[in-house]
Formats: sequence, structure tokens, C-alpha cells
Amino acid sequence: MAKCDIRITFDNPDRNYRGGDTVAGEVYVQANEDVRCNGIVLTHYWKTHGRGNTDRGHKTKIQLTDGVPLQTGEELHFPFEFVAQIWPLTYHGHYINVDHFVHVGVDVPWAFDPKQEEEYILLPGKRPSEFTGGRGEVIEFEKEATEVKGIGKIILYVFLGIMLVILAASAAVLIPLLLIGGGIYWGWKKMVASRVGEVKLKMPHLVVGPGEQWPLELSFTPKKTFPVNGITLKISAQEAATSGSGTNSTTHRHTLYEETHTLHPAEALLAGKEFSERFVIDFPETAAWSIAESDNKVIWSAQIRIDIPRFPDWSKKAELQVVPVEFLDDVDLPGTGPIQRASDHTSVPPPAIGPASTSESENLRSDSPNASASDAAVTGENMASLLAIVGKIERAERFGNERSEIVAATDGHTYNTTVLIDRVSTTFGVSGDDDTFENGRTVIGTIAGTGQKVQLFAVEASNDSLDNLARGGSWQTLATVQNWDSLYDRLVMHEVPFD
Amino acid sequence: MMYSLPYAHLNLRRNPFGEFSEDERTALALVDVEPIIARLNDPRYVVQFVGEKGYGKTTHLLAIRSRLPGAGYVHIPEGERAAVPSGCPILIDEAQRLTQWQQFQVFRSNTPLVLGTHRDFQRKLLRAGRVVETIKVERGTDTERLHRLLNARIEWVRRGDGQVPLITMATAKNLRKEFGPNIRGILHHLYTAFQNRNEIAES
Repeated sequence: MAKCDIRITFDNPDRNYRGGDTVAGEVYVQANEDVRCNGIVLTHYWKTHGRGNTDRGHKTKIQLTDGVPLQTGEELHFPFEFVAQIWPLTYHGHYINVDHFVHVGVDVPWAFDPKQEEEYILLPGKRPSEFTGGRGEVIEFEKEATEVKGIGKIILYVFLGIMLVILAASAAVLIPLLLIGGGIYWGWKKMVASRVGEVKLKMPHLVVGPGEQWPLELSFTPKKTFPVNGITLKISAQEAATSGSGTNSTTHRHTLYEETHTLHPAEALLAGKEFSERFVIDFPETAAWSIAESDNKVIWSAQIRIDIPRFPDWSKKAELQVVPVEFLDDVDLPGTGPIQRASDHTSVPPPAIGPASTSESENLRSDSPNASASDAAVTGENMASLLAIVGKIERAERFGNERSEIVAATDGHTYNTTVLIDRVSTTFGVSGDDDTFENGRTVIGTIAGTGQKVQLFAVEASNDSLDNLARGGSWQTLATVQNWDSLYDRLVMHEVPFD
Repeated sequence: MMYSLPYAHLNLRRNPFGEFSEDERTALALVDVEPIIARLNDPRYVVQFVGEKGYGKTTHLLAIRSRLPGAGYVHIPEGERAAVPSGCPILIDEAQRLTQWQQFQVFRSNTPLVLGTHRDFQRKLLRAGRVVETIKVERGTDTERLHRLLNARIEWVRRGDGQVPLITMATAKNLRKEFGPNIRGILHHLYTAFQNRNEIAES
């Protein structure tokens, strides 16, 4: 029997906490024999487990008590609380698991220290500071630097020096080999370019949220007429867990997700005829966040391929970073099909001016889940002007600044707006210094009576009414137009606070 | 989105056949090293554990190290050189990577040695005047030991009181038949089996 038993309980019985939440609970220590303890320390940290070597994060220690004598049968209990980390989130995959732990150790001199460890679940919460709203490049999380000291540093320098000498000595052999390899690569690229010309591929969102609509643009002008078996996009996710080291190391790989979308069917592409398409892909719903630890990785990628029969294919692969939607400012919703072409979008119907409300105050900040688009139209004295703005936006040039300029002209105006709800999510941050909408809700939907998409940031005071709304319901409030989101073709609006 | 605690459905904390830390492998080592420890008092004594990778050489060395606080231990990584540590005895894992000069110095030293190696150094060691014991690690992996080893791993990651999955002797026998002494291969096979497991039941 151990010298003492340790039990750890959490204030939240299911142990689900969000990043930045306070994790609280109690530690019970019961002595099974008289023992002098030099202290009881609680440590919290994250680590991986599974098929790969263990990666772990920084350990934060909390001294629960200093030295204290424990008598047989005596039970001590210590409340604890700390702020949960924000990242990495709990993940349970095939070869890789990430868990957060609370560990309690009783320091007993000259004996094995009794200890106990319990997990808690970390869900998406506060947005890590590394995320500033930019989506164009994969974000690296700050890691604890591994400092090489003393003799280790000398060995490292000596090793690097030896490697440099070896490289210099073998340059006579290496340089020709590199030149041959480079030549083959260059020739292959030229061959492909002789068919497809210069290919422009835009993936504006390398940081992606599960379930969102993921945009992609591909354009090129074929130099020759040639057939294609198709133009495809493969989205895949793979776990890579490395165990052991040196010759004993093995990397275990497991495919979590793989789907190939056909962007363009098999047909002949004509010389000189530009191929230019925008696509929107429904990114899969997933909790397999990107992980980039040294021995445990979850890697998402997108690979575009122009499949040319009996000829080298053109392809390009980009690593994506999948993070919770809570970490993103501007997540849009999935469409009805797996792929939408921008050119396929049905045109938005002209704005229908709905019947004016008999009482503006009755309709303000109300939710009416059963309201239809027609009877929940934009109302109030500002209705016509908001609808006019939507109409102007629809008629404006899609590419260019015209739409942004129309939105800028609304500055200082407040609109009585009804939104048909597609999705409501918690707002963890709005770009800029304004914290008015922190902890409020983000409403994604369309302006009732129109096809105009909108993203509306609501104040926290509206949470109760919004949390009760399901998809298809409508919600009415006063809001200002903030800007135009050209990527998603939608208005971004801010709710006007009640007072 | 709600998560549950990992492997709670099996009354475990994690997959028992995943990668364990060095400390955990030492704590779980089911090897009888006591007779060897007694013989390590002789400064001319050398024991070498010979076998393929994944057969348990490192486990033997770690078990000996845990019982001898004064021992010096080194694992020589692939393609690298490592200094031979001080201590008594000296434990060298992947000893086939010692340089010729290191072999000459270490084999002729007056310190008992424990070697983990793919290569049999018996003749060299005898020429250096050593008393040599060679242990082929694959011979130590019998079905009974395998059965105990696998269930010890399960017990190590037990979540709470009550039932946990068990590996039966029949399963251990089948695994021994299929994988031979390749414990790493067995662990990998069982890892996948436990990942796909939905309930506690004997295996």
C-alpha cells in the first residue's frame, strides 16, 4: 500500500474546459501511515501519448503546502485553481493523442513519492495571441527554446565544423550531381509549362476552420491545345508519429482524411483560351487540429493537380493549418454542395421591399424562429436605405473597390436589420481595439427579404436571445455596417449596444 | 463538442501498447537480471545482450541500470560517436557502433561491462582477457513472459478499480507464433487492436 492516497477532483464533473477558463478543483491526500512530507506540489501541463515518442509542454507548478507531518488516517484537502492553457487543444486520434494533465506529487524523503495524475479536456476557447486574423500563412506556435549548453554546444560546433569540411571536400562530386538533378527538374518544369503556361493558384486561406467554405482560385492560359483527364483538388490529413531514435526510429503514419474533388472534368483545353475559375470547397468538419510537435504531427494539405494524359502533370501542394473556427474572424458556412464555382452562383434576387412594421420597437432585438423571409423583412425607417445599399452592392463590379466604397458611405448610419440565421457562434475577438463584442455572438446569415449574406457581431447582452435560435430562425436588431468582406461577398455589421 | 476522457471505455488512461518513456519501460521490465548483477562485482566480467532490434536488448540494460546507481550508461545513436561514460559497471547500448579505438580501450579496461549489441564480440573480449557471458535476447521471450509483459502494460495504464481488458495465454501463444521474439512487432499489432476496441473483454 502506498504511503498515502491522492485523489484529484474537478469543479466541472465532465472535466471539459475552454482555453482561458479557470480550472478548479480539490486535491485530497489521505495518509496510510505516519509520514513526514516535504511538500505537496500540483503541476499542470500537456503531453502527447500514443504510438510516437512523448512531446510535452511547459510544466507549471503550484505549491499546495510546504513540509507537513501526516499521521495515519489523516486526510488533507487542498483547493486549487489555475487558468487553462489555450493551446494545444485536447485531441484523441489514432496514433496521436494530446491531453492536459493535473499531477499531484507528495515529496516523501528517502522514499518513492506518491503521485496521481488526472486529465482534463481542453476545448477551443480564447484565441491564441499568434492568431491575428491573418489567414495567408501557417502560424507557428512559440515553442520553448531548447538551449544547448556547455559541452553540448562545443560538440555541436565541432560536429557542424566536421560536416562543413566533409561537404567542402566532396564538392567535386556533389556539385555535378546537384547540377544534373537541377537540370532534370528544370527540364521537367519547362515541359509542363510548354502545355499549361504560367499557372496562377491562389489559396487565400492557409489557416482553415472546420466546416467552413474554403476558397481557391486557379487560372492559366494553355500554350497548346491538350486534353486533361481532369483538374483535381485533394484535401488530406495525416498523423505522423515517430517512435524511437536513430536506427531504431520508426514513423507511423495514419490517414485521417482524404478526399479528391474534381474541379474540372476531362476535356480538351484550347490554346490561348484562358482558364480562370474561383472555387469554394466545403472543408470537412473535423476536430483533428494541425499539430506540429517534434515527434507528433497532424498535417493537413491541399494538392491541386492538372492531370495531363501521357505527359507530366502540373501539381502543387500546400500545407494547411486547421484550427477551431473560434480562432478565426471570418468563417463562412458550408454551402449546399461540395464545390461551388463562383460563376455558378445564382444571382441574388433584387431586394424585395417588405411591408413596413407597424411598430418598430416591437420588432427590435426580437427573435422569431418561425418568421418567414417575407414577413421578417428589414423594417423601420432605415429599411429602404439598407436595401438600397444591398442593391448597389449587387450591381457593383465584383472585383475592385466599388463595393467597399458603397459600404464606407454608410458610416454613421444605423439600420434596423433582420437576419435569417444560418449559424451563431461565440465571438472571442473582433479585429481592432474594440472589445464591445467580446464574449458576444457572431451571427452568420442573410438579410431577410434579400439574398445578401451578412456577418453580424452581436453584443453579449444579446446572447440569451441568440442562443435559443436555430438555423432558419430570424433575429432583429439595430446594427451599423462596418465593411464589405470581398472574399465571402458579405456585409460585416456590428450590433448597436442597447444603451 | 464534448470529449470524453481517453480510453475511459476500457477503464484505461491510454493505449497500453503505445510508446512508453524510458522510465516506464524500466519500471515494467520483466527481466531477471539479479544473477547478472551479482557477477558484475568481477572487474573482468562482461555480459553482452545480442539480438535484433525490438527484441529487448535495451530493456535488459535499463533494468540493470535501475538497480545500480553507480553505473555509467550510454546509448550510441546511429551515425554518431559517443564518449564512453565513467561508472561501474559501464553499460553501452548499440555497442557495435563503438570505434575500434574505443573497443580496444574499453574491452581492456578493468571495469565490468554490460553491452547491448547486434554483433557478437565474444572472441574480441576473450582475447582482451575478459570473462564473457553472451545472452541471446530472443531466447528470453517465451510465451509465459510475453503474457506477463503484455498484461503488466495494461495494468500500468489502468484508470480505476474494476475490470480492464486482459490478454489471455492463448492470445500470447498466437502472438509468439506469429511474431516470434519481435516484441516491438507484437506491441504494434496490439496497439491497433486496442484502438479499434469498443469494450472490455478478454483478448
